[in-house]
Amino acid sequence: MISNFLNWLDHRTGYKHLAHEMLIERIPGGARWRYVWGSTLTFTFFIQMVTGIALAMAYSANGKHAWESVYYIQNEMTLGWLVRGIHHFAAQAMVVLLVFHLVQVVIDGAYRAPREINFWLGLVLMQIVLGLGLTGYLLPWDQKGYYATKVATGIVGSTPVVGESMQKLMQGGAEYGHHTLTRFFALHVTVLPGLMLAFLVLHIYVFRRHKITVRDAERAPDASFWPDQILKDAIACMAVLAAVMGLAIWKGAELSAPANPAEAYNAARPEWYYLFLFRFLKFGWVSQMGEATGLGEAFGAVVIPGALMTVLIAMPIIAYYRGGHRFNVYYLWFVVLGAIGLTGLALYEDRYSDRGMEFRFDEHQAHVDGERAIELASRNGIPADGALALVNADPHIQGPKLFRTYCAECHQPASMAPFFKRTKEDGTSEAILPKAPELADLMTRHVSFGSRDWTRQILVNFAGHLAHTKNMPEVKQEQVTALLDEEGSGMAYWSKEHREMLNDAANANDVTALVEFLYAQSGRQDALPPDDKQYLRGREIFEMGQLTKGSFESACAECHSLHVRGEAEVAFDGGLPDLTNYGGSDWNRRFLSDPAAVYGENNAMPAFGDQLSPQELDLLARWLAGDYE
Amino acid sequence: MTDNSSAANSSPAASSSGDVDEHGFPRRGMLYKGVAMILGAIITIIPIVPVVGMVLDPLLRKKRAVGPTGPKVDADKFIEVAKLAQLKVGEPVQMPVIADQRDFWNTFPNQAVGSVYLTLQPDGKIECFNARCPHLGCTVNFRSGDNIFYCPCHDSSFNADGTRKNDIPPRDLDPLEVKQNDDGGILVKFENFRVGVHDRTVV
Repeated sequence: MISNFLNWLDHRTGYKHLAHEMLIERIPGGARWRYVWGSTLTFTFFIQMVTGIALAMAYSANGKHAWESVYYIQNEMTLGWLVRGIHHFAAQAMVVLLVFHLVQVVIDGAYRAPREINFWLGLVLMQIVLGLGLTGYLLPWDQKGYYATKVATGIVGSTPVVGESMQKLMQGGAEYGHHTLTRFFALHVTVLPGLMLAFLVLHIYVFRRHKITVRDAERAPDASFWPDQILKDAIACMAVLAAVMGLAIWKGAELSAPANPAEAYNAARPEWYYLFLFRFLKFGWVSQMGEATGLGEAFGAVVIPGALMTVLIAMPIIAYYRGGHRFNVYYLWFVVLGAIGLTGLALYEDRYSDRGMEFRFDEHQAHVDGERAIELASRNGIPADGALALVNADPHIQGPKLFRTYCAECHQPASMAPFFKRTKEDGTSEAILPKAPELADLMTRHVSFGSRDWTRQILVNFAGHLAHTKNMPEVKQEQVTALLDEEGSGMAYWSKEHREMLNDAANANDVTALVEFLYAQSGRQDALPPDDKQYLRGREIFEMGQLTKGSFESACAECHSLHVRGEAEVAFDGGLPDLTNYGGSDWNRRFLSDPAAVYGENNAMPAFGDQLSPQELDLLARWLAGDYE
Repeated sequence: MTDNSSAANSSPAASSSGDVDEHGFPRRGMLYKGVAMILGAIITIIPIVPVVGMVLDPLLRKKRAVGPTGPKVDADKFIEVAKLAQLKVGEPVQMPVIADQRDFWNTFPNQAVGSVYLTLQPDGKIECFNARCPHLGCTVNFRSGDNIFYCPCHDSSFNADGTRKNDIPPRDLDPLEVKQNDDGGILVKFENFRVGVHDRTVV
């Protein structure tokens, strides 16, 4: 019955002959593991096609929707994270397998006459794979892909004569915009895969025409492609699939923060398989040669790789001559090992060297920003103006960036001390000293300013806590001296006078109560409510200065103004610094825009009301106060 | 492949082994071929499985990807669509349903997510129909001259009380639950129903 049907089908289609043609292929010397690379590449391309179809059904190639749709694929859709992860890692696997395939072909001499054309077809396929990688990397429209691809299109633009036009054609215009995405998307899902299929068919057709290249036909009995080589190929493909799926499940494809043309992305790096070129361009002599030849960036990024590629293309011709094959093999190892060496160097510098310190910091921040952006998007959906609007209005993302720009040099986070150096005229570097207390750790984004511990330090160890202010420039020294004077009449004196009393075990609960009361003025979420006993005890101490053991020479309320949170009347009117909402976002805003208005005459901090926009002030103030969700 | 047998004969390795198949290659048992075939099938199917899952997402998803959302939708899914003063006794009035529109990754504030007809009955009750035609989902018009709802797409028509006037639509207009609040607001439990079928099921 079945056999009848198959005969009927064969009579009309001739499939048996086709299957025979495809499967029964003589392999002199038997199946070998070294022949598997072409099959693994074809298999990986198959993976990319099926996963790519699913991704294309959910992706939106538009500057306001690209990141957003990828976010949706990654976080909301059934198995979207896995499909995207497989596509992401299979793309990288393809590059690795491509190198293996090329090395095997050259070592075995499979590029030699009469197989020259097929070698060139293979090199065309290589360019298509690299093109697919480049176009695909931009599509998520995140900071990582956006800035990495900007460098790549910039390199294209630096090519002599045709560069500018080429860049415009790729980008759809002089700058990145909607059409950059539509063009890259169309290239990535229609033009390049179409070319890939066409050239793959040609490549396999010509391969079958000339048969497999065998170096030692006598090593074993001849075997057939089916089932001998297919079994080996299938096992190799399985290993590739396991690696790709393993990485997709274990690491996953990252989605960093939405692309922001206005914000520098300091951790911009190309995909790892382009790192060798990235590192090559950083050599001083490459730039000098570019300068000397008048080619600029194109020297290192286009001319040199082009020359290396030309030799690769010429390999079949070179092999016509005596010793040509040996030259080709050495040459390939030279290029491959050189690329591996440069990749290793680039990775080492970024991961471990002092030079990579800022890269590592920025990469970590970008990672945190990306996760935060995803969290924001998943709360109430993304507004019409895109995820970037959410990111730009978020204190948790913008606060640390503003802090780093405007605050961190004086209020140095201890963990970032090596970042603050200046190069002297003799070439040596010296540290820039902190000029104010540490307020926050930018690596972990933990804010210490306004915390319970901060307030305790202010009470118990005022001069010590603010000791960095001694590094202030000459013109501020008068204020600093007055601020830190433990023999004067200010807070430094008060703190020193009462240190013993505050540290007395009998007063421990009282000090905690006072700290809690002051902390509650910030309105932070984890503060005690105003009807709490401890809070009320703190309020009493603030007003009367009476502790369990001893009493303050002058109570807090005698020197400080404070409009107690939640109370209608202004309770205390002692003077500056005004502690109303101390450590809360209102106080921070007032203080940042004009510190002297809050601190009075001993203030040494510059005002930021003119340097920051009201929106920036708000973001910074809210981040420092933790006043956001 | 016509030269297979002669090639096999000339190959000393193959002929010396003796045990060759019809093409002159070393004979492989069913187990060998079976393993090759199964591995081939596995590596083909595994990448397809998550892809199928992702493509079937609209069927597998629990949360609605598109629909009204936000503060205008109350806990029982009612949305305010009009004030009592805007209604007319015995004559349907068309009102847009305004709420935040969830659209996959986006939330667009204050969008018209659909429209309804509201009629104040002489006894003070309020009748409400979804303006979407139950035939194939176009929006019906109210023709006050004939006192009918009429669909411009395929000529479905309905009486003012929502009952079918011809056999084109599979069912009467879809009524929606109505409630009023203390401020004279009319709230409607806005739902769309499957079109083209006799039974009324929420989509």
